[in-house]
Amino acid sequence: MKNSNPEENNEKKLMKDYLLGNLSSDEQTQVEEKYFADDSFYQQLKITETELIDAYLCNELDAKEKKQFEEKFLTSADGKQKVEITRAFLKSINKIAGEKAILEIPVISNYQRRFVWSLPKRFNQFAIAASLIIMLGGGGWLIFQTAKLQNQIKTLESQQSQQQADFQKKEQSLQQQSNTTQKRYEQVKQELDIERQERAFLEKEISKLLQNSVQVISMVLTTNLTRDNTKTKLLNIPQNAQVLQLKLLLAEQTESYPTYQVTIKTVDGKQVWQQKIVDDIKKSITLSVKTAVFASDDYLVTVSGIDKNGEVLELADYYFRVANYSVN
Amino acid sequence: MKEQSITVKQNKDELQKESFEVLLKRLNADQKLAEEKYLVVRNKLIIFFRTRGYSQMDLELTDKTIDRAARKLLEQNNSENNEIQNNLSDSYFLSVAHFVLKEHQRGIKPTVAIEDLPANNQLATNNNQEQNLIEQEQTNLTTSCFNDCLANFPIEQKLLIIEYFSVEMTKAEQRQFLADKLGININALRVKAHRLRQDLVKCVENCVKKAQKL
Repeated sequence: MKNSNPEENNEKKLMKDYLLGNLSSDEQTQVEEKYFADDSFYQQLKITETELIDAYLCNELDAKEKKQFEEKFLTSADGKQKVEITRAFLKSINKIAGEKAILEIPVISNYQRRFVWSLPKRFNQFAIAASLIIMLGGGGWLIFQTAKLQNQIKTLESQQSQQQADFQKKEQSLQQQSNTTQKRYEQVKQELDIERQERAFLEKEISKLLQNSVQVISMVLTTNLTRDNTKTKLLNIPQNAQVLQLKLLLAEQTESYPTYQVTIKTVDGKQVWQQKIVDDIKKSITLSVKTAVFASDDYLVTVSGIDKNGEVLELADYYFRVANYSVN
Repeated sequence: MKEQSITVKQNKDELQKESFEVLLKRLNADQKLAEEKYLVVRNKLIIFFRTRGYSQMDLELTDKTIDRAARKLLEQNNSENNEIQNNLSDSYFLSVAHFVLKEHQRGIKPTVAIEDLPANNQLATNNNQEQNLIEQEQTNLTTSCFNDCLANFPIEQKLLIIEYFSVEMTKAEQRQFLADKLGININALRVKAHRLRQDLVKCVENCVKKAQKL
């Protein structure tokens, strides 16, 4: 590559002299007219100004230049500000470059590095540069930089592809989870539907069973020595009642018999029901009579005792009336 | 009397505002470009006054020049006989600057001497401890802003800035390596590196301003 040509160097020198106040009045006027009229010349002048500040801060100016610089720049608010910004800039850049150099120059051993960095700054710069030039033939450092950058890119790419793979894995896993959950949901839904159907079926069955089950009504009767309508028990038999449970209370002095007989008759003497009971009865007799035997009528219940000889003796009578009832 | 002086000041402020708007319009019809051009002109004037030996009042004389030029442009703008031209040349400001300088020279002689600077100190430092602390804080803030701004630069640009401007290696050789690597000549590299640096500095200045506002 071409280096800067002598014309460029002369221009740079002219600008530096202008900024330090070393030009004659005519030269000064010429430079001023040029940078006011030509923006690219002004850009070059700005660069030269920045380089001059760099050189001042890096102690690269000779005594005369340093004095001139301080006269021009350090007495101006704008100049001072530029110097401060440049100082911060160089400080940051060199800090980063220093860290970078320590981390990134692998050809210098730790021992060598300690030795090199412990030397005075100027010698330090020379030593690093010289070492690199000698060891790497001048180009090694840049080759290393390129390799380093390529490595960084590769690492980033590999990290990126790893992240992508992880992401895909996660996505698949989530998809699987989602599928499983969906399946489970459908399964549970199906089970629930079956249960609902079963429940409906069972409810129906229960209802049927309830309809078909034996409905029992009960009534307690006390003995009546006389037939008196006012004392007659009234029995309302519901349509679904199938059995009438009758509890007949006996008088306290009732004798004990080995067998008892209970007969139910209508008031006109028609027997509708009879049963013998072989039991040790004391205070009451409980009977279960199908409601089908009854109609809307008055009934007489007779309890008799049958002794050893087979003789039947009436022990008690009971009356009741069935109201508004007919068998379907 | 007091009311009168306030009115005069208000009129002056309004006049300055109006003339400044005219100045911007004359620099460029586009507001943004006009502002950029204004900053360039301002910097050119600062360099002019500083190199002419008026570094202590470079900002003052620069503002005076701009104010004078703006007022002149406002007069032209209000005059019906003159045609208004955009893209005003920067050289116009140079001629006004010469005028302002001559006017100033008639009054005060520039007095800048190195003897006036504090001894054994590169920068005019203040002995006041509090002032030093403020300056230290300012430096820390600037450094922190540099790191933040630089971190946001693309890696190639960041490396270019670091490799071009760091002084850990011999500058000339380092820069020649870089120029060879990028396939450009050393001067093109110089311009490229300085443009990046200007962007970085602009970012830092904004960052510092923002931090100081908080």
